[in-house]
Amino acid sequence: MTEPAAETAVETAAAETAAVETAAAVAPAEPASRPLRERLLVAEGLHKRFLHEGSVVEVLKGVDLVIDEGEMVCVVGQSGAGKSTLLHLLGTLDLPSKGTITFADRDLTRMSSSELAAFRNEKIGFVFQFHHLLPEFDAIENVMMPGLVRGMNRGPLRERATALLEEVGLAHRFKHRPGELSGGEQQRVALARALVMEPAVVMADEPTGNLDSETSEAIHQLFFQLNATRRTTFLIVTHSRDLAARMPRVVSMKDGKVLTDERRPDAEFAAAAAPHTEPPAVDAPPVEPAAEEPEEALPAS
Amino acid sequence: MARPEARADAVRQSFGPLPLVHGLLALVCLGGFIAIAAAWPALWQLALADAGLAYGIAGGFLGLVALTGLLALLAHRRTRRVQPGYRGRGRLMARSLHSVVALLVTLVPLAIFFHGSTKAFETGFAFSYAHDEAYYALPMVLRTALIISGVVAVVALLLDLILAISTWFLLPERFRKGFWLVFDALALAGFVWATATLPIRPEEEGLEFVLEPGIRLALTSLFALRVTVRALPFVMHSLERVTFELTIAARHLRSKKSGFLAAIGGLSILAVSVSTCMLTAVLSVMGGFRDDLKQKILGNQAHIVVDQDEERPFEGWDDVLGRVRGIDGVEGATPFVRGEVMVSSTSNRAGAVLRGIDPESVGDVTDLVDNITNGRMDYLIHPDRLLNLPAEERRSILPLDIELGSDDEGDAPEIEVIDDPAEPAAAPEEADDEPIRDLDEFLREDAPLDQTEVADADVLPGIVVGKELARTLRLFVGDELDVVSPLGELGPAGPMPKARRFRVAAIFYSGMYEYDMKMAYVLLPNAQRFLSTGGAISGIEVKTREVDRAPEIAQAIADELETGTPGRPELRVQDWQELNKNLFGALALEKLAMFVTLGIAILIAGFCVFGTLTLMVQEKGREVGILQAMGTRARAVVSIFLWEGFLIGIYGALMGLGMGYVVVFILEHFGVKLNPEVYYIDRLPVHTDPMEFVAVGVSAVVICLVATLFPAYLASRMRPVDALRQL
Ligand SMILES: Nc1ncnc2c1ncn2[C@@H]1O[C@H](COP(=O)(O)OP(=O)(O)OP(=O)(O)O)[C@@H](O)[C@H]1O
Ligand SMILES: [Mg+2]
Repeated sequence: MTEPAAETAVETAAAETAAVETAAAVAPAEPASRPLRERLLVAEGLHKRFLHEGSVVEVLKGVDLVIDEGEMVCVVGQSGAGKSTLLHLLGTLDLPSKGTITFADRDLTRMSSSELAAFRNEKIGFVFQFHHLLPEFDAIENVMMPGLVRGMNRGPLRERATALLEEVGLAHRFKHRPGELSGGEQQRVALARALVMEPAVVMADEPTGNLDSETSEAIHQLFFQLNATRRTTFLIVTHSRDLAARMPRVVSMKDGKVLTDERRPDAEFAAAAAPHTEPPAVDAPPVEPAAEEPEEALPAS
Repeated sequence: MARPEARADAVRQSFGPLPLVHGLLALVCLGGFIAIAAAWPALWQLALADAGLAYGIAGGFLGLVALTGLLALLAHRRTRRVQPGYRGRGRLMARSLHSVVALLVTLVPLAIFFHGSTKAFETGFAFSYAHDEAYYALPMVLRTALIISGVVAVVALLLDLILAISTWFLLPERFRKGFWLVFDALALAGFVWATATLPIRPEEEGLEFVLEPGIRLALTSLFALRVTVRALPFVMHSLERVTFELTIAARHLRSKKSGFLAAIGGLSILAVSVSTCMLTAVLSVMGGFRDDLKQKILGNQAHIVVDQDEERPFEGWDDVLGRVRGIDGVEGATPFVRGEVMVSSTSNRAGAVLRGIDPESVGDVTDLVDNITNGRMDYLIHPDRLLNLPAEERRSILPLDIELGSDDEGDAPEIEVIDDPAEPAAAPEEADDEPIRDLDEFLREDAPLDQTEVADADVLPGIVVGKELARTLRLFVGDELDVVSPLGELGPAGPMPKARRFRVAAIFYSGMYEYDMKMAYVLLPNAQRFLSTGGAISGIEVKTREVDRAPEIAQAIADELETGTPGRPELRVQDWQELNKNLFGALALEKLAMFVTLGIAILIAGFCVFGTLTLMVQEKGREVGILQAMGTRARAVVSIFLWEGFLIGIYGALMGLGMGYVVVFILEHFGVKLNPEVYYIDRLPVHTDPMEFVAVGVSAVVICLVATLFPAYLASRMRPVDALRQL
């Protein structure tokens, strides 16, 4: 994705605020009535069943969701509600039992597996619930991995990965393997990896689940900042009330269905404004290679 | 990830310096064992020559073993006081126990050595010298003790190896690194020293000449091994830079894996290398046999034969001979007549092929003249000279060198001509199974040389026979023999076999049993007369300048005979390969069969690779899912695992080829003696063909790749989500 100028982003944000205000009364199931934004990801009637020891487990029971370009969506719901499953379907890691998913008017459910692979590589960045780093590679190589998959040159890729790792506060952990990183550090490496290709959509499954509140806050700021500067769309599953409260749109799920889908323009505005009022969370802790604290917290700025 | 490290830490803390002591102990004990095992035969030799030195060395061993035993006991006492993880403790206990057993076991032969005389010591190594008389002179109890100690020692050696390896990893990593550093420095120094000072191959036959090149070979191999081990990480590292798939594959192979996968992975590399090593060695030996055979055939037979159907006589051959000799690339050509005959001496008879040759030109075509071991070609032309051989020449030609150079009979010339026609009764009775040597002895006693008088015997045409035929018929140079042709003349009572008497002019040894047993050469005119062919011959033998061009020269000869004037299209031209088609066909088939049989060994190694990769796919399934989530295509996943199989295959194959090269080198230069009575060849022939090495290596890699196909396909079929859900 090309990087739009900051001004455009602000402009769009402002325009959107207006649009959302006018459409505030409209039900979320009819997103077509909000013309100012491009529909990026549209899921219609998503069903997902699993066969478990002979019996059918219905995990998603008809989910409709429209995500616009540059939107920040938060998915909440109790454990086992099907949030991760939904994320996997939207990210084309799994096929729905029924229903369609379109991305920028392309039907994802009809694409071949190699087209999907290319699509994922280019458009989607994942942060998994369990991090899922490659254990044989160190932090920087893990971050570079999507680029290597695409066949990019190592030099520029390494620069980009270095910048991202610094941004998530891991400047002193480049050479550590996942086994030598704390849970929160692993999560941040996974985050850097999701962002390295500058994808159109970042899908994050509890990206700050293992982090202390300060580090989480810094990561959330990073999300909002990226959303503002690059118009990256975020789809974040979280149990964090704090984050959910600040997200412009919250989809809550229960038993495989969408329970509510609210938009809160004020929240988005507050969040989008945040990076400008506060210094971005790029301050890495001082480099201390010998430090072995299990939880590495970003110092409060 | 960090678990093994952590465990090692725990062990280090709880044991104190004990693992170090034990690791050293393991090394010392292992070294001692190897030294003892290696030194037993040497000690045996030494004891014969210098008993004092042998006692000294044995005493040194005893001291060494006692020391290790003592250390083991001390360590064993300490293990009770500390509270280490039970695995490490188990290992140490096992080591200690084993060391005590080893001490006792080694003590037994040493005790016998000190107790008994040098004679008793000769029996020290129960297995090698079990057949020795001295061994049976020992009392029963001692013999039993020796055998038991031998068996236990072998088991103990194996156990020691395993234990040494397992305790080795209890040592701190820093120590191990340091050890390898010192070891490699020593290996390098040893390699340099050996290359500079020691000969690469034995200069002469004999055990004492093998030692130095043997040491050089061992040092060089060790050095090469260490270099590969050291270079491997660098190679892998640079491989990682090539493509993304290779990056992942190389990392997978390098990563620490679960114990079973690591074991089976190592095993599959070992299996591939052992099977390729075996295959190359066996193919080289078979190639050696083939080469040997080819050389012998070409020595005895012409490269090209021009002949005609048996039925019609080959007339007008003078002109053909001239024309063949004129063809480019032909070195020599000679006419021959051949016929199946029966030869009989006074003691025995045998079937043979009678060949009439032209002694002038036969030397240009075959090695017959060079192969003569007794007598002279000259006597074939002038058989009268056989009648009064000068005494010393008769001496030099009389002994029949039967034992193929194995015994040098300096006193043999006393043997008398076997078949004195004057007194046929002097010939030994029918005794086929009686060794020739006894016959010599018999003759030596009963017929002294100076009594022989052959002056008034008839001048008979000469004949040259092979060594085996001479042995069967008990012939010596100057003896007479009867040649009987089944196609005889017509007598009053129907066809009668035709018989002629010849005198042995020379005996040849070609090294090929078939020839040595079957061939009898006479002069061309004699053969023509005897076989009633008139002026005709059986064919013309041709030798080419380069053997490899034989087929094309054969073609040239055929063309010349067909198109030249006068045209002789009825003649048949065959090169040596066509002539021996069946033999070489059989050899090729045998080789192919061997390739397939041993190829199955590689196939089994392939199964091992299959297992490894399937496990790898299982174990790395989650990572495959992650990669797929990041946009890795199914094709790339397949190639990741194919690369892994390829790397395993190529690593195993290279190791195997290296080992195979060492084995072939040993076979070729250090020589494996064969029983010439059985194999008709005195040492294992070896012919290394680089193409064969390449073929074996390539097939090993291909088999590994094929074995990887299914696991790789399996990996690519995994859906990202399923892979990711694996924990
Ligand atoms: N492969 C499968 N086979 C059977 N059941 C499955 C499978 N995958 C998921 N489920 C079930 O689907 C339900 C939803 O799973 P999912 O991982 O989407 O929950 P979640 O909302 O992400 O929960 P959490 O907040 O705890 O992560 C769970 O009850 C789970 O047992
Ligand atoms: Mg979940």
